[in-house]
Amino acid sequence: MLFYSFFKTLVGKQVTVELKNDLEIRGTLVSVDQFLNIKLDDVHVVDEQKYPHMMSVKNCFVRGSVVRYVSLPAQHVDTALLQDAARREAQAGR
Amino acid sequence: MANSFFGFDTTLPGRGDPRAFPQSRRNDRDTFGEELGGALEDGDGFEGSRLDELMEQKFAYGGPQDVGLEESEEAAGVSLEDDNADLNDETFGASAAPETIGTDFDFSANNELMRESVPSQPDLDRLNGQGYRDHPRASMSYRNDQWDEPLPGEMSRRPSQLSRENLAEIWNKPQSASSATMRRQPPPQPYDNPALGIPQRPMSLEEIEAHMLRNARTENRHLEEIEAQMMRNARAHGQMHPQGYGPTQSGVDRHMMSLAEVEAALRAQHGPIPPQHMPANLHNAMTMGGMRPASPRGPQMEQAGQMRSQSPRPQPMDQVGDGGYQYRGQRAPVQLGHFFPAQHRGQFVHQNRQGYPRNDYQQRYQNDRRGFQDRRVDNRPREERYRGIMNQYEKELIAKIQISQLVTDDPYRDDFYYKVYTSLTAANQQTSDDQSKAGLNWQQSLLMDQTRGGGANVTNRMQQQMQRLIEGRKQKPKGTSLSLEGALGKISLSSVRNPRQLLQVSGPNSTKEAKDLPAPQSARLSSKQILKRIEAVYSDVLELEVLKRKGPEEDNVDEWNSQIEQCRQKMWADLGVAEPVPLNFPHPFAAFLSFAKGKKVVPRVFRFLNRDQGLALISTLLSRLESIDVCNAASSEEVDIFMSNVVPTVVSVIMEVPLFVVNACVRILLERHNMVWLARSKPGLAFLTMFLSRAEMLKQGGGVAQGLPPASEQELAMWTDIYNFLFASLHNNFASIFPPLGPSATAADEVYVWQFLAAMAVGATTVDHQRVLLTEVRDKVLETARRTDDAKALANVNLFLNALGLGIDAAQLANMSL
Repeated sequence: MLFYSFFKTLVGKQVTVELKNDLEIRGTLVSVDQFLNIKLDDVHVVDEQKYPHMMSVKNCFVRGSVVRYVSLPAQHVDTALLQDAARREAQAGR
Repeated sequence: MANSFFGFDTTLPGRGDPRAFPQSRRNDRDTFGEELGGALEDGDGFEGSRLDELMEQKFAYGGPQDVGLEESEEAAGVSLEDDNADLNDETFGASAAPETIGTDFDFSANNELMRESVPSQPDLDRLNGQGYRDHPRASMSYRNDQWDEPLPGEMSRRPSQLSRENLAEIWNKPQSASSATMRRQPPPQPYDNPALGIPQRPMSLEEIEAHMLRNARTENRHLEEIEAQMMRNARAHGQMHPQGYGPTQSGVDRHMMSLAEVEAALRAQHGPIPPQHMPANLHNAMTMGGMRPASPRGPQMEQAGQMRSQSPRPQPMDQVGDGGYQYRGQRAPVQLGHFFPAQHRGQFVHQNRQGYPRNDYQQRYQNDRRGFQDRRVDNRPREERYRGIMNQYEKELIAKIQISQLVTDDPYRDDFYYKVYTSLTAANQQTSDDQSKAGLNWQQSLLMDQTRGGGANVTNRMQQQMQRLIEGRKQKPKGTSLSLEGALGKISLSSVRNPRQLLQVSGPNSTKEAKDLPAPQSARLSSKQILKRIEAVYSDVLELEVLKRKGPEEDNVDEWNSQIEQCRQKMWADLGVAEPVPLNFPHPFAAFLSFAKGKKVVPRVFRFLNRDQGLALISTLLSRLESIDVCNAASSEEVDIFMSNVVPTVVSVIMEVPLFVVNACVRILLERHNMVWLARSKPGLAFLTMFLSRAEMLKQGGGVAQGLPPASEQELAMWTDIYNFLFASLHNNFASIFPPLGPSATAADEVYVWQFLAAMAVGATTVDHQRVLLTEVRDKVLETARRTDDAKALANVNLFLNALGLGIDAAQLANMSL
């Protein structure tokens, strides 16, 4: 549940999602679920020229399994806490 | 003695004479066993071949009573069912009694058909009886003529046999029919007799039509039966009067016309009757054995049926005209007859269910007919468009299902990051109710109790609700893995809590560690083990923090306290500070501090240590400074981490201690380390600064506010000694404590040095000290003072100068020296 918990804290922040098909989408994170499906609002594609068909897309739902990266705003991430959360997760798994 | 079409003996081994059948079979009109003397049927007590059984099953289908149409059938006066037995007589011979069938089967010349004379009465009766007992059966037979392939030149001959006289004979019979009760019988009569060569009184076309119409008025008179029978009759007639093909084309035309006219007349008559019938019948008649779906499609079918009825019509005409393959032409009616009952049954059944399906279909039909122009763009906002698709119950159900997977009873375990992060940020920001509500997902908002107010209450109630769900789920524990009996291995069921592992890594160290524990302390130096120890400390710290955050449960304060105590002791043990380590051995705690995460855990650890433990830790730290990386020319990052984590912690502790503690600490430093070396490292200087300032504070009575007794003379004297010793060791080296000025050196880098110098100046016990200080760093001071553009540098210098108590500041000094 670590990443779900982590993404929950980023709701409302601007993130950039890079998909496995190389599409990069920048938008405001609306919601995330247990499968790490992502809903984005106010969507802009990073490379507008290459994906003209995305011009009309304002918000989208991205299935979690197709996400390659999610770029986050650093100031909203507490790395020490993240380490601790990872520690706890590892312990729980053990 | 049984024979077959093909002239061989079909009696199966063990069969003898045709046996007496069970009565049911005998009366079963679906079999043709009777005529052949049962050659194709299994006798009693005979095992029989599987093939025969299958054939039996194939040709034995239920009667109309199975479909519940018995009554209507009787009322209609005509059977709905038409089986293949119509042509049995033709196929096998009207008089295919066992005794009359010879073994020398002659395909070409069947006597019955060719006989001019009236057949014997018994035969006639038998035939008639067959026809009348059951449904109208066309007992006229093509017999074997159908296989009498005509020569190509003769192909046109066949239709010509259907002369007007033949037709008249066909239609003659009904007029002489007697009983009105057996209404269905008149139709078969003309068909029966012509097969036997009884000449009929020629009927005019109008009479034919009238007759047809009369028949058609009965509800279930079926066109294709009529047509089929007509065709059969025509052919039979044609065969019987081979000479009647003189008027060739006219016969053909007339035949065609008659059919067409008849159909037209029928259609006119059938107008009031539901149109499904007509097109269905027409279509069935027209297509060759094509089976129509049972439920008629209303208007579509009407159009299609009419269209289609046009096109295939030439076909059967061609067939008839062709005539060469009469068998083929005959085939259609046979198949139709076979298929028709099902279709008609479907029709009939469907008519009963008029309401819903038909309307639904019609609606869909209308919708499908919408064209391109009928599109309407729905420009309403998306929410409006899709509002009201689900009702409240459904939405709540979905929300419950989803949330039940996610909500836990121990968020600190499952949802750690989120929980802690929000509490941290909330602590920083003091969020209002609105903001806390914003963190809810739609499920929680949906399931929220509207009457309750307040942000905190909402999530609590949510959790309460979900508690029930969770407990409900716990009733039937599934577990994380599933192992079936007899199967090798386990299947792990992945859920949100235990996601499927991409890699399965087992820990090889777990077994090794047990062996290492009794080993001597020096063995613990390996970095892996140190890291493991650090992690152990971390888990303890985390546990303590969680416990602290959760707070004690209402009635279990003691338990909570004991838990905390337990964790603390464990942590203390893990730190390795508890037992004294000889100085020639590396200390584990010191090793901790060589790692970044070890440094970072120190402040968190300190929060849970009592004073004594904290001091012990510090003294350990101080005594082992030489083994700590930051004091030995480490990377600036590590130094920074140290400075930001460890030093402030120590400072905070030291600022609370009395003078004798300070004395003790500085003494440790002085004894253990070379001051010059120490002064060259930033942490070392920082510690020195710390001690100096604390001592000054205590000297000036600062400790009183903290509840400490004022410094005693002893302590002060001690302190003075220590200071002197320190100064002496640093003598002549003060200038070297400045960090080497690299290209990117800023005033901020030197702050700590100036602070130290200031502290030294303040703590100077004699004027000599101050003089020496100033002298040694004079150049540096001047140089820094001249950097008037750098405010920080000036501040640094001013700090020192003020500490010296000279009463001048940097600006004045700069002017002075110039």
